[in-house]
Amino acid sequence: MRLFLRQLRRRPTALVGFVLLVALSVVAVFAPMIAPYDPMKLSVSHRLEAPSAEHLMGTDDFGRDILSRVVYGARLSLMTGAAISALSACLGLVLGIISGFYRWPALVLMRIVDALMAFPSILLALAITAITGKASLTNVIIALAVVYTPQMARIGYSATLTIRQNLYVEACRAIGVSNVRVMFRHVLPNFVSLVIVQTTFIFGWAILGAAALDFLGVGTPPSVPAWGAMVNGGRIYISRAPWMILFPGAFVFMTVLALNLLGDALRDMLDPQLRKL
Amino acid sequence: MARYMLKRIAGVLVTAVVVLVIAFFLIRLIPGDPAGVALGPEATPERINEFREQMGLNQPLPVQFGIFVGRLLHGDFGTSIFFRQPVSQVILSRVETTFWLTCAALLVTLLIGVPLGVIAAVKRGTWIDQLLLLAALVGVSLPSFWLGLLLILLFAVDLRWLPSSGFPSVFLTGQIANLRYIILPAVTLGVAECALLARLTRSSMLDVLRTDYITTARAKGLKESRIIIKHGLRNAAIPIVTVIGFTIAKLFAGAVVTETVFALPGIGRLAIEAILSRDYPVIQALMVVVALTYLVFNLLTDLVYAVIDPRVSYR
Repeated sequence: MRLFLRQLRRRPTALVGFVLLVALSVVAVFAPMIAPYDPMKLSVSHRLEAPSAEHLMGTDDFGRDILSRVVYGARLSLMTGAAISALSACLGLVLGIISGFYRWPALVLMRIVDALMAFPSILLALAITAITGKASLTNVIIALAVVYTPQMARIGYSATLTIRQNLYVEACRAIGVSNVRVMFRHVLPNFVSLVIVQTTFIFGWAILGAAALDFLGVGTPPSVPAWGAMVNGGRIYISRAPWMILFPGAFVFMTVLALNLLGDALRDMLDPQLRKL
Repeated sequence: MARYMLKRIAGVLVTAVVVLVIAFFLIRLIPGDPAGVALGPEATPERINEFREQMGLNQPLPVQFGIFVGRLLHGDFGTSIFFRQPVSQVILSRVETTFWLTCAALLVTLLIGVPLGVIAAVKRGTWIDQLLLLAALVGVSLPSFWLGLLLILLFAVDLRWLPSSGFPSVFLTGQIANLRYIILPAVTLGVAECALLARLTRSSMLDVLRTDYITTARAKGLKESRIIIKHGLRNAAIPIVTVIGFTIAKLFAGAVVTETVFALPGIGRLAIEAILSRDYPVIQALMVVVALTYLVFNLLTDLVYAVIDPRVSYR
């Protein structure tokens, strides 16, 4: 933790990312207290109002307050990103470590991983959402978790292959420690830094991916205040009410930028060999 | 070298088979009878039975997979439920737009990404380097759908310099000027890749600039610009060239969002139309075509890399 804080002090960009992320998390947690209006409340008399003291970010085509919807959108986006990155990290690591330890599962699992990585992420996510049925948050999480699991599996696989060559792993096996214990107690902790860095990046990509699915109309239902869906809703009013796309899009951008800045700093801190990338 | 190439080709063939298996079974995970889904709710039981017979859906799954692969090898992806046309014809009618868009976005990526990466490497550790690295992070963090709309707002709505949507065919009309419809989408699509390429170029240039032959070139008194371009960039270009195949495949995929923003009649827009209308034969065909294109580009890149830098095949 002390190392992390020192790194933050040394890199102003990382500090900006960290502060932005903390601010967004506070907004997400205290959304009901921060949002000035009910994000779902329709008001035909206030539709397409420009930003003003009453509505700081203006209103949308249904007269809903954009600031309130953006604030609730932060909660949804961060929760979606966290769920996708946690799910893909857990699944990917289990698959990767097992493949790194056992030859036959590796032959099958890693071919599946390679094949899944050949599908463009957005196309695979679209196909999975089409199969899972109607637009829902759960379907978005499942689709994007399937998309990002192979990346974590690859990292888990290559790290396990390297670490299992170490003498202490051999020593564990010699004294009869079970494979499961060796995998998760002695191998996994040795590449946990790589996992943290990758999870931070996946968090950002997941938020971008979920926003893209929402924008395309196959993500969360349109009534839910999701940033991507809000931008999509503002498309037809682009010349009349540009604030409908400006603010929600800016929040997607800020969140992903904060995670990327932080991920970069973490990578430098935890893996100095990658620093030059 | 030959052994390395054969190994890579065999690896890609195995992955291609797994791609086909995934595309085949993913569509079969859809709840309900595929024949019912394909023919719609108004289909009579006789028509459904006839369709099942025709498509081999009453055969065991491994046989169905065999039929699926056999048809693919003949370029037969089935018939689109929505367009009522052969899927291959539907896809071919959309290729032109995506082709121009991918080429233009690649041009944007190379023309901006490589020079920025070289400048960042040459000015390593200075404020220029820090600024360019930050710009690269900003580039990868921008949601493409938002960037596209911002560009429309500025260049199409406010300044009225460029069109905001559509793309009349260049091949059919013979009007090369139609390519102006591609400018904004290409910039939108190219920005993220440009940021990634700038980071790769920087890192590759830094590796080269540390080598002895660069020190020797400097000791000989060569001009700095000549050292950077002739000795530095030419050698640093090898890893850059090898990611171009990968970049093309990624740009092709990124077209899904960009073509939707700019209402371009391309493959990406087709994917969305197919998803929204539940046109499963088209979804399956696009998954196969795009994934196999990606694998072929990656294989070609690896083989070219092995030819340019033979050390790769001995690693």
